[in-house]
Amino acid sequence: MTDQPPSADKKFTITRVYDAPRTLVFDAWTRPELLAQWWGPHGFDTPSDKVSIDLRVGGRFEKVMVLKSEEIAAGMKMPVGSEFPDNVEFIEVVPPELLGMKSKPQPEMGLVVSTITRVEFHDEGGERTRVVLSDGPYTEQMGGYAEQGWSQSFEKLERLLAGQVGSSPSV
Amino acid sequence: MVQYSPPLDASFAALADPTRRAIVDRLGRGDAAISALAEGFEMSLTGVMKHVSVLEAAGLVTSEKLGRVRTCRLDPDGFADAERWISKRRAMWEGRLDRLGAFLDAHRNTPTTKGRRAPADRREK
Repeated sequence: MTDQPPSADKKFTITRVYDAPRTLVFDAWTRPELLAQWWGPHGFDTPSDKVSIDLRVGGRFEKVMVLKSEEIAAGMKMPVGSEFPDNVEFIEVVPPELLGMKSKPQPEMGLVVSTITRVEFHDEGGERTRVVLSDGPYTEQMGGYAEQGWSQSFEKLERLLAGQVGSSPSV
Repeated sequence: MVQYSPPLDASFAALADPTRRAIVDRLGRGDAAISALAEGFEMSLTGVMKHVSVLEAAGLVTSEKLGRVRTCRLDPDGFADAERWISKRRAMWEGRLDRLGAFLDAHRNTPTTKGRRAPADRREK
């Protein structure tokens, strides 16, 4: 057996406090015309007519990011105007407190793991909102290579992919 | 998306194929010659070579030819890329939350949505 890679972090958490009321922060995530103004990333547009938000558990949260920057396009060796779909499913919806999202594995997009992103919106008083975003877990499909051995991991991957064929692309 | 580096794309794409996952699984139990893999998977030598070359290009497998025998083994460094993937994902979310902050700052003087509850925005799938 060769040396195993070091195990990956299972997830990460980012906390931000915004000078904005919680309802506005939540709306910024859940109304297409607002989301389109910040979703990004840098060098990309997310046109609001390409954002679809079905705000309920099991509903889809779909966006298309369009490459706009000449510089990034050159770096990626892709034409300006290339579209990058970013589709997840809501698994938790508690307006205006919580959004849970799950992306399916998308082998055709080079993504064979399922990721869960959870965004909590805390009212801090005084029209301030604390956003706590956690993203993961990765361990079963990724860090799991180190923790559980190759065979088990690939059996899991196999089952994962078998159940997810034909789903739409994701972050 | 920019958060996927090309090598990482290659490793995920390489693993999207069930035969290649089976090859990696097999190599996880020990190094193996191309001919042994071909026999184990009831494939032609050429077929196995094709799969192995994809895995090699993705940095997941290395192979070495000694005499007439090419032996394959896993390259654990390729799998350590998963950690890089997570740090890229973190950077992606950091960037997004920065832009959300900028948006909220800009929006403060024009709070057209203030006080509005999140809509149950049902749409066609």
